[in-house]
Amino acid sequence: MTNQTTDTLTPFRLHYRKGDLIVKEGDYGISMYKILSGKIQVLVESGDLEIPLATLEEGDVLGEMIFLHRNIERRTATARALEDSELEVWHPDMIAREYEELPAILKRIADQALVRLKRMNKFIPRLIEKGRVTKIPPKPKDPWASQRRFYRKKVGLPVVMKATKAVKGGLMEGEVRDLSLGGAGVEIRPKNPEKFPYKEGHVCEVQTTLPNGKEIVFKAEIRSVRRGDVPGALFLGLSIVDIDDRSNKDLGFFLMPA
Amino acid sequence: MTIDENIFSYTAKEETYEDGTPIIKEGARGDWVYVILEGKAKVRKMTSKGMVTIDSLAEGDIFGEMILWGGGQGVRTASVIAEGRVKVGVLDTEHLRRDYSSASPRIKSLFRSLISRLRDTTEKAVSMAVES
Repeated sequence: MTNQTTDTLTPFRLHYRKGDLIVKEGDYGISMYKILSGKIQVLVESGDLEIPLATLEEGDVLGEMIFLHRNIERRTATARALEDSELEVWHPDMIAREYEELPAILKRIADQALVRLKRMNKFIPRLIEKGRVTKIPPKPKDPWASQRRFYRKKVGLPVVMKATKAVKGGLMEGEVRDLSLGGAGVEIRPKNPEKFPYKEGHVCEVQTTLPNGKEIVFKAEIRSVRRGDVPGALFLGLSIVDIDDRSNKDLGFFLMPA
Repeated sequence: MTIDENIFSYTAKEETYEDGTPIIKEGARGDWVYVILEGKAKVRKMTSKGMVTIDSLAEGDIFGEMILWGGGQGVRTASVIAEGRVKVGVLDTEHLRRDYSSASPRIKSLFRSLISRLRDTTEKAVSMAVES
């Protein structure tokens, strides 16, 4: 089957029936398998649980981790045929030299993809094993003034604001006119607009109710104060500096384009 | 990870981005592949429940490379946002494409499979993480 030079190594084919095991996690191995037809389930086992990671089809390659990663000698996952499948076996010698001859940058891209894939593969079983979800909290940081990519809506929502550091002025009431993930534009009608105590740089606690009835709270820095459209009104530009996860989620949901 | 000379031979130009600025934007059409020369960046995706951070990038990391393999209608699958000031090398994408297309069919199969598996697995992990 094998000849003198690796150029003439003839790949041979394996036929698997639905349900057959192709490789088992932990097995020693060196070959890769190209799927010529059929469907293969890649999974890892955790106690009694089988956790599916990917489904491979015609054209996909199975077993690349051992080839691409110098330190791995054992299969990192189990593979089973979901239906009758035909696989072509690739001995690493068949592509080792071609791979070595690739420009370093392409090899770097493959290595990187491998590291990222391993990370995702580890993450998925952990999510399932815990039975609940590891939350990745969204944290919007961009300034309110930025127009890029931030969902923004014109609204007319009741708002109550109060300064977080003692500022003589107490509570302010008004209306949110403009809302985004990064901030808000609020119209306030203070008793004395000429002697308005809140200034740029002050941080306020803001409470408003979304049209769906959900109340959200956040801390925001006043970025600008100017005269409002109506006499006696002031318009404040606010930039969100702190928001709890639930409020952020509710806000995000509300701002999503319909 | 360190930068080696090989990467510099692919670098068409350098760009600097300030903190919070997106270098690539999810959903936008993309033509360039990048490498981080100095600084850090975050990889973020929009989900049904807001933006999630799925990865962190540092010096030597290449990003934007998914476009070399097409798929996803040629649009960016995630945003990459500067964390602090970041200097990136913009890579000669045509040069990369040429190098890739002169690789053997087996090597190409390997890459295609790896990249598509990464894309699918990332989507799966992200959608699982936001369900709560």
